[in-house]
Amino acid sequence: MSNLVEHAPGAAVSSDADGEVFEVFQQDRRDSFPHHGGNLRAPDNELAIHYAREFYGRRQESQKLWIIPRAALWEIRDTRQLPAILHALARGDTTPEEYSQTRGTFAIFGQKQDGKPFVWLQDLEQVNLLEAAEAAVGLAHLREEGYLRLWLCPRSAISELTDPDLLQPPLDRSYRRLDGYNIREKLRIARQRVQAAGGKPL
Amino acid sequence: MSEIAGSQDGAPDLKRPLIDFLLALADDEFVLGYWDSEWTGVAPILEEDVASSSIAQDEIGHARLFYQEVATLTGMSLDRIAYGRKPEEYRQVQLVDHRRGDWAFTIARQFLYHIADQLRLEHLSTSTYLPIAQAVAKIQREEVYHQMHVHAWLERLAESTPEARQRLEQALECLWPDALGMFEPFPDEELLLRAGILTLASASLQQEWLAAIAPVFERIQLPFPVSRIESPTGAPKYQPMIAPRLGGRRGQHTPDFADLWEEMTMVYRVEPQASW
Repeated sequence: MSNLVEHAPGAAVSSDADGEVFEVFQQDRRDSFPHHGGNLRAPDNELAIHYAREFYGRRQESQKLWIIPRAALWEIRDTRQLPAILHALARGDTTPEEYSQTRGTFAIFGQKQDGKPFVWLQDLEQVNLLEAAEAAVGLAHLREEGYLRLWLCPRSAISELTDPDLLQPPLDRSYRRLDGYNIREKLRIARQRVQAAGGKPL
Repeated sequence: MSEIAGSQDGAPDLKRPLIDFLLALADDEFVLGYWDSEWTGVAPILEEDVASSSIAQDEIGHARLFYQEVATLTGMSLDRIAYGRKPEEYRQVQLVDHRRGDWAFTIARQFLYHIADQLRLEHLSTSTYLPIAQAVAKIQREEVYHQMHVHAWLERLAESTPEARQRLEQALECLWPDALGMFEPFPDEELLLRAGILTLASASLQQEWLAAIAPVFERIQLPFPVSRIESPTGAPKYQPMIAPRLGGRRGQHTPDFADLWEEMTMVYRVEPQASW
C-alpha cells in the first residue's frame, strides 16, 4: 500500500493481549481547540475513557477529552499528492467498507511540524472517507500555514469526556503537578522561620 | 433541628461519640487506601496501575478530611491521629482489614465497600454537623469515578474467563461476613442520630445497601446469600443468611491489620515528634 496514507502509525500492531491503543486529545480552558496529548493502551473503550481521565485529566489540565481508537484514525502524510492518496484509500484492502461507503461526520486533525501536536481543525459533515480525505487536503491547502500531516476519523469513533465531576474534581490535585507537591508550603514556612530567626534565607 | 456549626459547639457528651464517628469514617478510607495502594507497580496493566494507585490515593485524601476535623476537635496533629494510635484504637470495619489479595478480591471488596460508602455519604450530606456535610460534598464528587471504575471491573471479571469468575466468586464468598460487618452500629449511635450528626441508622443503611447491590448480583448472576421478604405495605426487606463479623468499630481487628499497622506506622514510631 502507499505510504502516503494509512491507518495512523502502529495501527497494524495497535491491538494485542494488553489491549488496543487509543489516541487522546485534550482541551484546557486556555486552548481554542482539542490537541493531541498522547496515547494509552486499554482492553476496551470504557476502560480507555477511565485511563484517559487518569493520564490527561487528573490534575485539572483538561476540560474536555476525546478518546479515539487508533484503528479508527487515518493518517495523510503528504497533502500534495491527492490522487495517490485517494487511490490508496479506495483500495478495498486498506479501507473498512463502513467508512468508505457510509456517509457521516469526520473530524480532521492537522500537524504543522514534527514534534508539535495534532490539533483539531474541523468537522466535515455528510462525507465518506474519500470525500473527507479530499476535503481535508483541500482544507490544509487553503490554510496558508501548511500541514505536515493530517488525521481523519469518523466522529462516531470519538468518545468525549466533559463531566466536571471527572475532569474538575473538587479536591485540588494541582499540587501533584511536576512543580508542585505540598513541599511548597513547607518550604515557605521554613524560609519564614529562618528569616524570623535572623538567619540567611534558605 | 438546629445545625451544629463548628468544632467547639458540640455539647460535651457528644464530643467523644463524634470523634469516634469521624475516626470510623476516616479509618475505613485510610486502611482501604493503604492496602489498595499496594497495587502500585503490580496491577494487571500499566494504565490500570496508575488508575488504581490514584484511587487509593483519593481514599487516603478522604481520610485526611475527616482526620482534619478530629485534629480540630482534639488539638492533636494529623500525623499523630493517622499514625500515632495503637492498633486497637483504629475504628475501621474488618472488611478493610484484610490484605489486598488477588485482583478479584480487591475489586470485590471495593465494590461491596463503595456502594455502602456512597449511600452513607448521601445520608451524611444532610448531617447537622456542618464540617462533615462539607467534607462529604467534596468526597461524593470524587467517588463518582471510583464507582464507575469498580463497576467496569466487576462486570469484566464476572463475564470474562471462567478463572476470573471463579476468583471473583471465591472473593465474594470470603467477604460476605465482613461486608455485613460494615453495618455494625457506631459507638453511641443513638446519640449521634438524635443530634442529627448521623442521619440514618446503620441497620437501615444495610437495607438500602442490600437493595442497591441485589440487582447487580442478579444481572451478573453471582451468588447472593440474602433472602428477600416481600412486604404488602412497603419496600421488600432483605434478610442475610450469613452472620456478620463485627467488632471493627470497637477496635477489634484481624491479624492482617496488625501487619499493616506495623508497616504504616513504622516511620512515625521512630520519631513521633518529627515534622515532615
